[in-house]
Amino acid sequence: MQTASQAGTGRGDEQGLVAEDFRMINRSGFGDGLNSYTHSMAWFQGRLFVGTTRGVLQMNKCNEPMPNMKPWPTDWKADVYDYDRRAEIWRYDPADGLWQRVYQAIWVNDAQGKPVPRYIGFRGMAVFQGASDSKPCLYVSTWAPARAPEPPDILRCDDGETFHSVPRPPFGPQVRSFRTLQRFQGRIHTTPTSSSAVVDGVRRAQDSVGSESTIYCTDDIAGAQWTNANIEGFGERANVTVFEMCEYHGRLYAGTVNPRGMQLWRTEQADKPPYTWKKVLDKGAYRGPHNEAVASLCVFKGALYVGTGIANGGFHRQFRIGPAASEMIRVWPDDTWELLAGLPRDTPQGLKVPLSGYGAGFDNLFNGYIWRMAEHAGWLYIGTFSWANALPYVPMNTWPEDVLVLVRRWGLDRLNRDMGGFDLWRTPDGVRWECVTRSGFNNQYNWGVRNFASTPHGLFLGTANPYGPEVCIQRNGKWQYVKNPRGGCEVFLGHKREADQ
Amino acid sequence: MSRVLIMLGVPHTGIEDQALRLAQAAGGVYLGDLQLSMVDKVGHLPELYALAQTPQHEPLYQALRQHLPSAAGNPAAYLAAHADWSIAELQRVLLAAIDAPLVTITDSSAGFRIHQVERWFARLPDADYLHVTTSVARFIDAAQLHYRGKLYVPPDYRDHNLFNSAPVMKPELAWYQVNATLARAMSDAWQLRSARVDLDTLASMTVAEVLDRIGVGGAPQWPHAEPRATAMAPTLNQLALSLGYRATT
Repeated sequence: MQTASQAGTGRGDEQGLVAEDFRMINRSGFGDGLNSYTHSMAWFQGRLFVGTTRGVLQMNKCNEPMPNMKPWPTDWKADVYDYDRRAEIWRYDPADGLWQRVYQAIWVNDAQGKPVPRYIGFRGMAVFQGASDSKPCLYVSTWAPARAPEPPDILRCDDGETFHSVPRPPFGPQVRSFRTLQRFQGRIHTTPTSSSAVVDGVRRAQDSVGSESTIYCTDDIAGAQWTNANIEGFGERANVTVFEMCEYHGRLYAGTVNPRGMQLWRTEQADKPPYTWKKVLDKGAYRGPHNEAVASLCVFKGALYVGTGIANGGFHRQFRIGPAASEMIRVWPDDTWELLAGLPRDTPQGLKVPLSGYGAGFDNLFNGYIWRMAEHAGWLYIGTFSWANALPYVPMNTWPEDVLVLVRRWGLDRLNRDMGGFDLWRTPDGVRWECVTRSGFNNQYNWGVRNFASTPHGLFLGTANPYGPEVCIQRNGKWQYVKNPRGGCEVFLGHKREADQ
Repeated sequence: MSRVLIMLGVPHTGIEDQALRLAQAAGGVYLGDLQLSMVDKVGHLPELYALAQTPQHEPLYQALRQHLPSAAGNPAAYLAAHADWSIAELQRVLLAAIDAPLVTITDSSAGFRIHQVERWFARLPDADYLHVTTSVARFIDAAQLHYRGKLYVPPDYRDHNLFNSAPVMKPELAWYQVNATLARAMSDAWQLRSARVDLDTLASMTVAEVLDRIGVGGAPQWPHAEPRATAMAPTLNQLALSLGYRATT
């Protein structure tokens, strides 16, 4: 994929994008509020492709443990399978500004013969040319619901129109989704992200913890010759999932979910799998469990940027971690690292204080993870997940008193309005940061930036917004469910207006 | 136009007293701890004041009352009427209204974040800058006094969570962060007139000696032959080592 930096779009780049440079090109989940997340995004054959995940809060209502929210923020049904959750892929053509749905998941029968979606989400996309591909193809990683008869597989598209499934890596039966499709040395790499099992009729799911932490790789996805690229969890059981991967400085980097604190590994030898690996960061960069996961990785101006987080939105109930806000770290080729935003601390590598001066979450407790990062025209953009929008539904009686004092002082309505949505920040050097928006572009229901795509047409940004189709609001002291015109994922296109002229 | 001296350092250590002393000694004005580095627009100040736990508007309101006749009656209304101004424009108007040989300004929050320090540099490139250091022990004493018994502390000082005790940031780390940030910022901006001085030394210095230290007033060492970065960069590890921490690799 060509980035705008490579394309050299030029004018106005040195200023970076501000909020006014972003215009909405899709609202309300492509007209269906059940499209919660723009869970994957890729620039392919001159057009933007977006894969959705549907009914996220409706699904969470059926999870065990269920988030403690009362009333439930969205409409819900006792059986989430009563919703049509067939995931969709949409295509945007900048030439005419039109969206077209190019794929919708099929129905399959579960063990009882009841129709269920084959896929409820598409969590990752990559453009890759495998050994048996005649040209670069779009590959899509999928999310299969718990009652689907098979684990998820991979979709392949070579013409921008039609999608076919190709064999998956040798996942175990509990694997329900995978996200990362990372190119490196002519191979594509992936690893399971979520697992699920139905026990006594209760869905025990972990959206961000896979049942195995193995990286699989192949030089030919269509040919399905998958090989292990690492040993399970890099030999450490606490690495419950390999969550994110990135190529940097001629090496493959992989970040884990680890309840004792994330780890970051890189290849030392990668001529042929399995590779040899070296640990770069340990114990959440010595912050411990509050850096449970490497949530995002991005190369920018010679360094690898690492966004951290705690699974499930900054509060991992199953592991009893959090809530706490995320950090920003950067790693250099010689394995030294710097804390850019986060908690000052003493480490075996010396005293680390945030070079930007910002604390965890860019001084926002609600930023549970730095979800996505992208370089565009010489700037690094980072998007967060914020759970401030859930405050009206969260029981706060167990909160620390100082936090309660702050919340009361700021006011729930005001917090929700001004900080309910995601944060978007940008930096020219990793040290000096400027805020683009703290309110999800004035939509409190945009709880995260789920994807970026840097293109010659500008920076595309897709949101995660699960507050649709109906949202529970308080009117005259009573809770009621009403249609939410700003519920469902949104897509924005950011570019300098003067560049149009 | 008055000579402007911006004094930055670790908060709660008495820098404000020295800023007042120097201004008075020169027959000038101490404008106060204006807290203007947090925002870019005048229109953003009301939100800042609304979110703050302490009356942060007071120093600026006081300065406007004393020095800007058109704002004297109602500073808040004046700021509201000029909400579209940049802070740089407000500073320019305010400083232009003061006829004094020296204006001193402090900013106790700027040292925590490099972009706040650099806002000062960008807005007032012709000002003189003084990084005032203090001993870490003095800051620990001051910080404990200041924060004891207060429910709210800024996000820099606390990591919130439900299941573990909420640790307050160690004062020495705050001390290190501010001094390291100021040292880095001033090294990067070597073209500015700046100097570092210990608070105890500063207390016994005259205005002329301070300006001489900065390199103005005909002092032979100005302009510097060498970028200041050469002299100041190694001090980051020295700061850490002085706290008993390992050197940062």
